[in-house]
Amino acid sequence: MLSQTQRALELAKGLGAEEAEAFLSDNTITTVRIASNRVVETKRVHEGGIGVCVAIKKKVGFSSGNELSEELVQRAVAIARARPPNPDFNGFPPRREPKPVADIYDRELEMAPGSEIVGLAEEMLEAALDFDKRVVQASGAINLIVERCAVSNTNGVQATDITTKIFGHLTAEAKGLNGGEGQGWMGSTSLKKFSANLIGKQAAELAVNSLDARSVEPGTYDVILEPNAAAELFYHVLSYAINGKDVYDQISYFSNSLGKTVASEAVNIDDWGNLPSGLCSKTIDDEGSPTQRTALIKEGRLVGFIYDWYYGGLAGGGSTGNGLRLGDFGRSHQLSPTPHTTNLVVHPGEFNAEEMIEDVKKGLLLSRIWYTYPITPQRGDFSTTSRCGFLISGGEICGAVKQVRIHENLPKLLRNLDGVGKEPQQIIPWGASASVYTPRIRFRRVRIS
Amino acid sequence: MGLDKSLAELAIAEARKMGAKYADARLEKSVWESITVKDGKVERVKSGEIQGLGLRVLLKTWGFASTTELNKKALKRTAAAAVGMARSAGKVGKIRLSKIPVKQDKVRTKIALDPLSIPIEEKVNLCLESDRCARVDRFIRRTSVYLACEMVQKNFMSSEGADITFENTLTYCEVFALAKRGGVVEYMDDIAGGSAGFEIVKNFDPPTRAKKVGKRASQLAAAKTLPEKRTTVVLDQDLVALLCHEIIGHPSEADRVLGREAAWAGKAWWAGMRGKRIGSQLLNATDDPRIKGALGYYEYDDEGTPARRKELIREGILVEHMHSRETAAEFGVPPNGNMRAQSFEYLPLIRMSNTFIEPGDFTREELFEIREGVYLKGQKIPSIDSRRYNFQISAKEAFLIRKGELTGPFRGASIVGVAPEFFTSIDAVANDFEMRPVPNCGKGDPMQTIAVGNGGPHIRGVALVAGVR
Repeated sequence: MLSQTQRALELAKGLGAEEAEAFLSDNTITTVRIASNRVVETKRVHEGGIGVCVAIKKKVGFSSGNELSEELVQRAVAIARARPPNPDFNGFPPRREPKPVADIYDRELEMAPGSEIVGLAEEMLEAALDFDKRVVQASGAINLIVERCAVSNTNGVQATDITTKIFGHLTAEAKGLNGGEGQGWMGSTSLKKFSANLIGKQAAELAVNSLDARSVEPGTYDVILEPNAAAELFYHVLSYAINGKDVYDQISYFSNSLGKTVASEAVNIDDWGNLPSGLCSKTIDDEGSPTQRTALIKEGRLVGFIYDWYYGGLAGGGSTGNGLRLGDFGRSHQLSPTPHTTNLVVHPGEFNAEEMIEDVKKGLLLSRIWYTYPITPQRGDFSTTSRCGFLISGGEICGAVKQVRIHENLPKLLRNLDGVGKEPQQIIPWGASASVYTPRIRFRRVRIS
Repeated sequence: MGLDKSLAELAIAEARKMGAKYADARLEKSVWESITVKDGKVERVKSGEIQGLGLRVLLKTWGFASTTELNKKALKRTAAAAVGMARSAGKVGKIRLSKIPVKQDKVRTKIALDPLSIPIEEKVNLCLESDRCARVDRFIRRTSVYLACEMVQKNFMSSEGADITFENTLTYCEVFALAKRGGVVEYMDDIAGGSAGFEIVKNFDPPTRAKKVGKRASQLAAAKTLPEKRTTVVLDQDLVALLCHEIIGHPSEADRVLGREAAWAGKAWWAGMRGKRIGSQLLNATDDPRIKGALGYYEYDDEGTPARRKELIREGILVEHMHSRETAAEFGVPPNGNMRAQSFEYLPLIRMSNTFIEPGDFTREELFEIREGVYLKGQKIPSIDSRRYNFQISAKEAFLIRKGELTGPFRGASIVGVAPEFFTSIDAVANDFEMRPVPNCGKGDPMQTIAVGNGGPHIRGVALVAGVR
């Protein structure tokens, strides 16, 4: 792969480019979807190609295609010659030696035949249906993603990366009063550590426990988010706020908060690109910068943002190893790098589930939330609905509750956060390109409608 | 640019040889270009090409494989992957496909100005000028202009004998401004897009739009917020477009209605209610892929089914859903052409095309003839529950209505409601229909982002108007 990216640099220099960068991706994605208790789709996508970026006197052009050709590089050079310079262009990243990251590639997973993924999907389904006869319907999927890439630039960066991950999710439905719904989720970078059976059981157990749900009165409740729900909230409503591009664009509600207290002392959050066994860990980012652990919130104080090389430059620093080109199928040669989280890691606290619940007089335990978006992003106002929820009264769980809507403000909730669980889980939320590694979280005084 | 159809024929033949009962192939080539200008500087100018083939096969279940390697060896490997995985499934159901007319056709979007042939310098200068126009005063802190175009050539072939070529040009432009006054940050944008050439950008007139966007953003940053209140609301076309997308378009997808999207996009609250009243008599909603110029334009879907107009809701009665050949067979209705994929790399799904609320007889001014209410303008960000029943959508700006007079703007407002209650409350529909581009509708696993058109006129109903938190 590196021979291709190096050749691209030679072509670019030969055509008059002063600086150049080439990124090659080669991804294989296998997906098996289950719906209505049967396998409905089996899919394998192979996508590869190269993207070339050239610079001539701060005039930058980009071109991509299925394969390297002189014409492709010429297009990038022609674009660069045709446009005005960008005074903010700060070149391409310098060469820094990446260090190996443990357990982010498994050859057994890469070589797993499609039929094995189909078998895992069926095992997940069976585990849900066999769990309890009230479980009548299940749908979900297993995805296997193998990403390979190579990046070279005229500053001497020459690096390759390969990662594997498998993750599955299942939504089970149980028959009974008001019906019950539950979700299971698991992901792993290796085949041996992945259990389809566990996903099915988790989904089924939650579906059965969610039966006979009743309505709750609108009002103010303490809310405990299970890891799945917390991951959804943090990915969709927090990760843009610590993204150097959104901070620069002033869409982030943390744009003027660096160094200030933005959350309770219980909150410690990092972006950890080289987390061993991390679902979205990488050796290098998509500009060739080594990935790293970047502290974002430390004991409630905002201490950092994530950057690619360009936005790091605009902020007066460098890259944090977060220059990523994330498409639907993973790292994509068709895209230019922008800052993006890798594994957003919420440090575990001291509480087990029982301890978090017993200190709640009137509250809700939410296992899953849905369609969580910052409806006023610059303020951190968000809206979401629950999918699996339980009422807490006097420190005890007293049954399932019907869907509620939460329209709240995350900066406010972060200050009202007073409990962090000690059992984190790693999750890739729906529609996300990064993982969140989080335990249960307890927020006080959340408005429910 | 030409497509080598023999590659699609080869993939289909290989699949059939390996035991597929049915196979179809989509061979595609796409050429695109985009320009991003921010704060007076040209941040990015990009171009690209991608080509490849997606092969769908039916055995006991659906199998699919795609590749960007267009050679015989790779295509045989692709066919083997699609067939092999589908064959290995044990837990399967019986799949029936509704019959469709087998078509051989060529369709090409008519464009007045090829966006790819316009010199980059000219497009960059237009973006720079527009960006400058958005900086109307000292309160504007960020401005940007995005211009993108794509030409897609697609050939669909099937083992039934279909051979359909579609050449489509998509053009898109967005202007944006962010203002800050005191501690208040507000932003505004405006977009144009469609299955059309650069004429869509010329008609949009980005510099003029950018100036308006800048003024509105600056004004909004000085605006007050509204208290939360359940009241009469008038929604403009842009907000109606997103509302229609979220609570009419998505639950009209038959795979959702059947519960097959429960783990992803969700279900539909009106499952089993075809023929029943779900809203006011004034509510009429349609999905129509054949609207030329709209972002969701096509003549055949990605199963080769001829596209047609569908009445989703007529006079408040739920009439028709959007179908694939498979769901049409299950419902016992003719397929109506809504299977689409983002590109050859994806298996098609049931997607809306151009979905909109039909215009009524009222003038816009007549909608404001109420004692009091709130006028919500412009779409921002939605949060919808998994059955598309309970919704909240933020508006760009709001105005108080008092006896036909508007005061405002106010910032941070959103509409919150329950779909059947809101539909039933609609008591006036204006005659000022507009179609809007929605370039990023997400669904599927892996996620597919598809371009659709949504629209409607001004409408009036009752909902909760929520404020900031």
